[in-house]
Amino acid sequence: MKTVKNRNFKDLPSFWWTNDQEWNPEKHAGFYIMNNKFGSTGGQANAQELGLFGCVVETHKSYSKRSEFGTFDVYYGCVDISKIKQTKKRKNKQYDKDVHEMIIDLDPKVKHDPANADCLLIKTDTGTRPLTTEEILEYLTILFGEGKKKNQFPAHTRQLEIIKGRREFLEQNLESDLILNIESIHTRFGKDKTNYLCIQPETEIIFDCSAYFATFQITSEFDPDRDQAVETRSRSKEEILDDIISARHNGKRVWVLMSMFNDEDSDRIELISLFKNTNAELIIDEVDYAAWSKIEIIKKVVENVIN
Amino acid sequence: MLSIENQIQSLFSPRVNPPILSVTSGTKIDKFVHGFNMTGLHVKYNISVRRDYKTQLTTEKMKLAGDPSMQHFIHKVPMFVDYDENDFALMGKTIPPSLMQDLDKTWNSLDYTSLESLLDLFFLPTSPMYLKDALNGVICDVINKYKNEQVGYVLNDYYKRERFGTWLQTPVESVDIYNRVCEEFLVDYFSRRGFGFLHVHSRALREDGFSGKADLNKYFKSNFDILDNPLKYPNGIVAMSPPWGFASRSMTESRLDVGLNLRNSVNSQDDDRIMSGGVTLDGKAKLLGLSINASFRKQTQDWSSQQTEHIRNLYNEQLKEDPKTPQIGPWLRGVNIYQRIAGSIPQLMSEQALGDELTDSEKAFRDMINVDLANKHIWGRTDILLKLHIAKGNKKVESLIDKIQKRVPGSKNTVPPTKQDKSDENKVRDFYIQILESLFGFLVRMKGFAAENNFVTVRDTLEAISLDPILNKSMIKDLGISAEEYIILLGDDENKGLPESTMNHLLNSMNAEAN
Repeated sequence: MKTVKNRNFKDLPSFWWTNDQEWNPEKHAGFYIMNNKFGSTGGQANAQELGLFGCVVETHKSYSKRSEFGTFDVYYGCVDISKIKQTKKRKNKQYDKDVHEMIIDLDPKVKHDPANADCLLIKTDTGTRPLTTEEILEYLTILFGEGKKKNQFPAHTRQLEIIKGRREFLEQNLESDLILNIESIHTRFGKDKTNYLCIQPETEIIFDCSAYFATFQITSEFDPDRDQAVETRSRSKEEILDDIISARHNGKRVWVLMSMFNDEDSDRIELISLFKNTNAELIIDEVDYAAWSKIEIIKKVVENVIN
Repeated sequence: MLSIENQIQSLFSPRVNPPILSVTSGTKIDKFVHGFNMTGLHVKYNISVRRDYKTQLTTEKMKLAGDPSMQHFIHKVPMFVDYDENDFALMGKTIPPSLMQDLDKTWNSLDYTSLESLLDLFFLPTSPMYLKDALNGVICDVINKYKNEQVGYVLNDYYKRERFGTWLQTPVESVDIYNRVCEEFLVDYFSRRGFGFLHVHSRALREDGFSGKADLNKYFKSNFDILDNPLKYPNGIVAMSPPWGFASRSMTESRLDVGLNLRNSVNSQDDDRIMSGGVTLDGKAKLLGLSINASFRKQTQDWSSQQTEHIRNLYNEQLKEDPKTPQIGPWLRGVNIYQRIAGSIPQLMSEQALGDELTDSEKAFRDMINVDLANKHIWGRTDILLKLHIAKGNKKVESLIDKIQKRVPGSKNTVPPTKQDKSDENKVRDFYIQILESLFGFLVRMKGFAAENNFVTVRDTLEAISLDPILNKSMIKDLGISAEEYIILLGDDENKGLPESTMNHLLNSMNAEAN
């Protein structure tokens, strides 16, 4: 079971009915399979940016709300568009609807659920019930062949550009005292999650200075096997250090959740200075709102992480 | 037991990469950059800076070109609305005097009679600016505009909107006044007009166990669900932005179609509230977010200056992303600006008109010289202005600045301008132009340096100058003031100073002409 949150499907399992290794929105249709439903990722911003427009636009009203906060068993599907029989012209390339039709053609016992566009019903001896996830996968296997299961969903091309840009710049400037990435990228440009995805592989500790107002967003992107958050609000330097050390003992990458709004007493600066010889990154999201007036703190933070 | 330092040493690998500071923002980042440059860190350390700018227009262009990954992206459409007494006459009303002067005062004084008139301009079906008609008109125009683009819009998927969401932006800053205006007036008003009204009540938030931004979004969406009742509210939902602006950033909702700004100033953070693609209240596909800025048509000034500024800002943004962006170029095709002159229907500006705004350098210079004489931020900085090298003795300069300051509304020594004789008026005017010409004239000195370093804004150029002691010294020698002091005169979001957007535009125009 994985928590489904708009921006959290990096490590969700996906089934690939294609010989290609990389997601290509020109060639592939995408959809989700979740809790007996098979349909779009409608309403999920990242899915849109990923080009998952096999997905319905008109999602049923409560879906996005539930998917935002609930815990579901979700798979993503990726299939060659050429394998999908297009039954009629659909807006926004709703391939999932065409796949629904293919399943209905395959098995006359299956029909649409009039109450839920993402749900298919099957008639059984005891009545009508939704298709289970397993049954959906069986039908898809008959239609498209054995799917390859992957645990990683690929980053969007625009996310990849940013990741590549940061890495190349780092490699060209390894002799610098500090690398300053300044990114002003409007919100619908596929930049979601880039602060998470762009962390360099060598980095072992991250000081996120925009954390108090975005703790949920930041931690929801974490890979629980890899990352561990360390809260700092209302905590002493010793408590924070204990958590950091414990996280490292468990082999985790440490995210120290800090703030630019609350008073950061000298303890925090001292704490940062302890990590000056480590591979550390600092993140400040929405800088003009969170940090511009606290520039003296940023100065101290930078000085202590450099020296 | 190992010391903390030793424990850290044993648990973390030795540093192989320099520390990395990543600062990100969806909109402006200039304040941070300026602040960071002022810390002196650049002088003390070898800091490598990577800048990456991507604008809304980039995405607009990609969508128009049929890029499949932009399928769900919606267009951003600003509309600048002037209203006057004729608009009210068409509704059988007389315009209240307060709506001809100061929207901020009207809201904060809880003048419900005037507010009802103001809102009627957008929510009364007989009004010439009825929002439903404006929204449908804009949708139709944009689809027509893009009929030959690869994106392939079908009018019926988007048109004939019946129920829509509005993000109402007001100047109300106090939570008490916010709660009062909502409870005493707006809930009832919008109910009468067929709209559900959503306000973010701080007490209700606490009662609901609100504990952070994510909760705020949840609260907002669930309240939207509650009000989404076609029988009770056949025209849709109006949500009013709470006074705590930064938190409202998370209240983005696909069911919001129109951003209606009814205050004197513009808050760029509110622009995004309507920009989520997805399902609309009436189940249509969402094509665009319509952002309306409205004000009374003043005698000599209308929204045309704001339009011009907006277009120039777009151009400057594009330049930041790609310094080779042509002044008139394909990027303009993704720009949808509506102008609404009082008493007429809103018109989509043509590409030709947009281009004309950009290429008229003389107009840009005139716009710069038209800096408001009542600008407290500029004329209050006598400490900086007095250092400027202009052909006046310092004593006279001091006395003339004093005269200008007395004309600034709200300053403690304000005297009515009528007390000055004609000759004083002219002296002030001449001096004022000399100050501005001296400041703007320095753009000519900056342009070469800007072009050489691919800087497209005056601020970026000045920041780079401020980091170079030789250049900064030379600037003080030529102009009399340092780069830091010039930046202070540019102002910021809260204290608007020199007309930065127009200055950027002129700087780039000069470079384009030089090339």
